[in-house]
Amino acid sequence: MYTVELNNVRKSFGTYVAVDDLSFKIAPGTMFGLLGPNGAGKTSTIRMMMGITMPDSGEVKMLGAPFTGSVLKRIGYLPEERGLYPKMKVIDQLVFIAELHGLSPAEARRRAQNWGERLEIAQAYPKKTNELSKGMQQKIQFISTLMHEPEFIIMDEPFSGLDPVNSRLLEDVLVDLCKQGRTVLFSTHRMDQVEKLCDNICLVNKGKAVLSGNLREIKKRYGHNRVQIAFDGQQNGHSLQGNPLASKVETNEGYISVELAPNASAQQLLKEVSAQSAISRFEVMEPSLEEIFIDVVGKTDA
Amino acid sequence: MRKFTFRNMWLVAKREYLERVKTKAFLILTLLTPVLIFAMGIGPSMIMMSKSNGTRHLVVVAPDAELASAVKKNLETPPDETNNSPKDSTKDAKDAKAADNSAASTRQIADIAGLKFTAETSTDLSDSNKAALEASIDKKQIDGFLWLDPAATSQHSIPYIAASTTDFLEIQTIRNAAREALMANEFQKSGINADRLHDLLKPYDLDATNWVQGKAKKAGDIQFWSVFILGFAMYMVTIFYGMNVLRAVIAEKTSRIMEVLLSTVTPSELLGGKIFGVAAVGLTQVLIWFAAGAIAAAPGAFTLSNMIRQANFTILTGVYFAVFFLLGYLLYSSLCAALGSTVNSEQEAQQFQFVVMLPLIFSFFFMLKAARVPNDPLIVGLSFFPLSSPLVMYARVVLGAAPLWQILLSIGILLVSVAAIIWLCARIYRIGVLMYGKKPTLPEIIKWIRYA
Repeated sequence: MYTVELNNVRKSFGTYVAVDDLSFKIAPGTMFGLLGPNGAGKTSTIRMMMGITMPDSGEVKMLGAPFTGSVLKRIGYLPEERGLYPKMKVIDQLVFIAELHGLSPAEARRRAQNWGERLEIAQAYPKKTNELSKGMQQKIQFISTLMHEPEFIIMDEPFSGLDPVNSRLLEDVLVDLCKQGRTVLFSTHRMDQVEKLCDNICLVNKGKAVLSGNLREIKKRYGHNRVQIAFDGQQNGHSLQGNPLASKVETNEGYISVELAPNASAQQLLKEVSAQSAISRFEVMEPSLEEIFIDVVGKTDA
Repeated sequence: MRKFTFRNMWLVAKREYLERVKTKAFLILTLLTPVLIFAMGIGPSMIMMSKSNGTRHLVVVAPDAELASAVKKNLETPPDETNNSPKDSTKDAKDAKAADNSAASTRQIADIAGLKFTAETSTDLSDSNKAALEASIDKKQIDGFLWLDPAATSQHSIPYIAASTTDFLEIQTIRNAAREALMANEFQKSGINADRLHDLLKPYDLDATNWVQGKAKKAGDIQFWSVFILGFAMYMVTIFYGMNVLRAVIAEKTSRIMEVLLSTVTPSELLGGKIFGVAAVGLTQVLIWFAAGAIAAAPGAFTLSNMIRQANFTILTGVYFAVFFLLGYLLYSSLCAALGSTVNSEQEAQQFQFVVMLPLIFSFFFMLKAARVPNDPLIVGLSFFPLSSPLVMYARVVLGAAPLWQILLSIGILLVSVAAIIWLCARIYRIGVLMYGKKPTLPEIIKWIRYA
């Protein structure tokens, strides 16, 4: 059973196709990254998972069954656009949303208090929402998403507006929840966070999945075609210019960065370079997700 | 779609209610409005009545001394037409009683206005005396004089020349004093005992009894009042709180709380909750005002409570009033919600406000017609049509013109209509709310209703 299963989902608004033949699966207990540039169709995809809109064709399965409204009580959704009543007291707001999810007021209060202490925001509870900073509101919204202990948590840009300390606080919560067996979906274009947190990703562009699967495998698949070399002494990369193994050589402070030519292996390069000079560091670099993102999106846009 | 639950609707309604009632604006409006009503109802009359003071010194010139002194007496001790108790010290009081059947007696007016008169009498109707009196007005020796020249009084005109003739209460008091005396004088001349004057002049009331299906019902203005109050109350509350419903619906659109809420409640629960919650705020306020109005019931003033007392509710009429008021209010509130679900901002909504208000205004006119001809075929039809039925059917109920099955049918149609409108605008809302920024066209709205 998958937490989410999308099969050939398509959604258009008038002539504009927001999601085009999209399929992916999210396994329980994993963190999944839904990536893509602005306007790629991430939010449209999430809205279909939440039953806010219906797909034109294709199938959306949630928690093992085709979408029904009753599944929503088991999902926590943090939308990208913040939604809190500006003039309502924070604690009343949290209790209200939790009650809508079926909790008793007493239980809602107890959980709100626990979360408030954990996220260091309980002191803001008696205030009105519009008296809080953006980051604080973000934390409150984050709590409201988790009050009913959902099995599946959707986070649309959860860390925007947060400083690194608070961002870290929320990350830890999500990692904990994931360890407890809950499934988390991130929708973001912040690659560093995805790289740090996610097991699997799906990269969408213009409504289509352009890359999906296990993050480590994708990186491996994208190949290790970049090598960083640091030399003992003043030797620099000039000797590598024109070498058929290197298609591109960049000289940086203290090291050189080499892009391997097609069919060239890092081992061959190591042999050649070490024959010429003393090496203090030779490292095969994994491509960063950001590089992959830019590469893939660039290619599909072209 | 998820199943509609009353629990969620109740939660939404509770939130809307509490969040509104807790605001300072609600407190201020609730406290201030009775003060304003009080001020508008009683204030002007109090200011008006208390304006003049001091004693007017007049001269009464009449062809015979008897008439002149009768006028003088009426001026110095104004007749109290409404009080015929023998305790009254004024001899003329009884005679004069029925002469003026307005609510306030001449004495009351004079008392309220703080008017006092002293008068001299004269029988000199010569031009030289008139010139002399005019001269003494200029010298401020007298305030004015009554010139009861038979040539004028035979034409039912009472010449009065004075330094100031603007205070209508003063003018009214003087006119009444002179008129009483003139009439008594004329009656005496015709050989009718002046003591019988008030009996003779007492107006006749039509004692109407409405015969409906073997039962007699008292008719009268009283019932018209309760119909009018219903129409007025519904109109005011709808204008005010209908717009609040509209604003509450738009609120979620502008703050995008929608996406969070729609993942927990259905649009019907949300809209229903909003309508009932805001409606309850309106009712709370209206009840507070009615209570305040009853307390502030000042003597003689046309306050709301006075109208209620005059309306003379029976318990059954009261129940029908509550039922039709509530249903009408809910119906128009849900129309406002429907309007709110199709527009993006309050400004935009204001342009279309008349669409909601127009049927209410029309119903108001038809209600007035219904109070006159309750069994007119058009009126009977309109008493079933949901937009007009709350007002029109209530008018017919009060007049005893509607059989029970018609009343129940009308209530049933209203209930179904409210549910249908909530259901319908839930659909518009659901889609309209998520299509930020774009104003829907009519074909699009129709498409939305069909969708999902």
